[in-house]
Amino acid sequence: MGMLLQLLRGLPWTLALMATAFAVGSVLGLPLMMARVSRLLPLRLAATVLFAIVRSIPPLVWLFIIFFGIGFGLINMSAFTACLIAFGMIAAINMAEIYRGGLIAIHFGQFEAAHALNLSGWHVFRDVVAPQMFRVALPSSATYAIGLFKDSAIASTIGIPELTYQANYLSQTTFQGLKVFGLVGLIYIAVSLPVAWMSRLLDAKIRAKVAR
Amino acid sequence: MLDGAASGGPEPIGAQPAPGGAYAAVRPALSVQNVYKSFGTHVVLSDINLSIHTGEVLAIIGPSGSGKSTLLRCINFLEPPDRGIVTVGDVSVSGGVPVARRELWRLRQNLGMVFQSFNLFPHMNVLRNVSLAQERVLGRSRKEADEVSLQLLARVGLTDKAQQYPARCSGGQQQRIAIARALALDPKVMLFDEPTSSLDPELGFEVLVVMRKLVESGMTMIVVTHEMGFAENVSEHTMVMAEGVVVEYGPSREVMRNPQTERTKRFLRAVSER
Repeated sequence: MGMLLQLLRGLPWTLALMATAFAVGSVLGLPLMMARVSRLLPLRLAATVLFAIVRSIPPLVWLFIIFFGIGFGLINMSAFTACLIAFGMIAAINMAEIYRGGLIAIHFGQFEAAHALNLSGWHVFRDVVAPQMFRVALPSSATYAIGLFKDSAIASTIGIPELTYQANYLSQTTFQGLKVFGLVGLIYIAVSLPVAWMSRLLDAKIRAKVAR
Repeated sequence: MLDGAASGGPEPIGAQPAPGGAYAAVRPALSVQNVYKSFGTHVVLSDINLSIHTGEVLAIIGPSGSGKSTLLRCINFLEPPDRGIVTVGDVSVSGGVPVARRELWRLRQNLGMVFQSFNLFPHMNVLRNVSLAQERVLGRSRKEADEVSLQLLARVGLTDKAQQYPARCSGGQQQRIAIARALALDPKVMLFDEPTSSLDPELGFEVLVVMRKLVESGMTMIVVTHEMGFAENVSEHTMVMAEGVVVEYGPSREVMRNPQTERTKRFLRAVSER
């Protein structure tokens, strides 16, 4: 019981990391997606290059670049801030790609109908495109949020006292690695499964309305 | 009425009375002047001219790939023409040059469009589909827009579907909702792009009944169609297109029963032998 309580002390950190990074990614992903599909070639090219660079480098390396590189010498930052920047940036790029998938899935006839009805660009986006895009993006976004929850474990490498950090500490002090890491695995499962289940439920509910 | 039919050459749009003298020499409700459109090297529309008066119904028929749908899409600039002028009421917009957003808005304000695949917004219920543009474009309140929408849904016989989502409606019902949605903006001219082509005959019939009612109410309409019965019996004039040009134009009954060009004869023969 004491071991479980000790581990659970890391859960708020893990959840905070995941939720903040996911929120940052969900918001910044939208303008990034727009840049990625922009009609302006320089903007589209710049976005494409940025996406390629961010996605080609492993998250752990990004974390070290930001914390040990930029964070030591250039701009002073806490380990948590470094995590937020790294995870937020990676989440923004991944969410942009998820949104882009949602956008591509919208039938071109929807745009034609909206334009024929004389809706302004903003209204086309707000009333026609965004609701359909977010609906298509919902299952992938939930999957990504779960991925982010698990990937936040690498924050332990720079001293964030989240779940894996606590497990590592316990394992080193109690020498019960299997038990500790087995238990922390169960905690990850206990959080991930309900998120996946809620996402499927919500998706099914929306799908029931709009599809036969 | 149409000028320059089959000639392919740019002739002026006149206001001479249509055969039968049904229309006075007044400004047309819609005119298309020398509209040309190509996709790469493929010419889709070659200097098309036509004009249609208020209350007139024009059917456009012809084989697939003849440019009928592209012509409709050029009229409301969903597909901007490479050159030519489209005039609806007192709004003229030229192709091939940058078009001011305001001009495009004014042009489309006068045009209602019904698509072959309905293109209803699947995430909104039927009432919202019909009300949305009224609020956003005409500035009507939600209540006002919903009242108008319910009247229009009654007109197309679908009041009971107001709270349903489009996916719960049949194809014919969806097309009738699409008609109500287009009518909600009080257009001067309705453009129909093969409105029954994706429907089975029974559901297509429901849509044709609504379209006939619209004709009786005096709506000006351009209908791209494969429904020869509709073209012959409901539209005053029929235009036959093939390979991007107008091959024949005239009073519908004459075009259908006594076609003058070999291309029209071949097309009508193919249709009747299906």
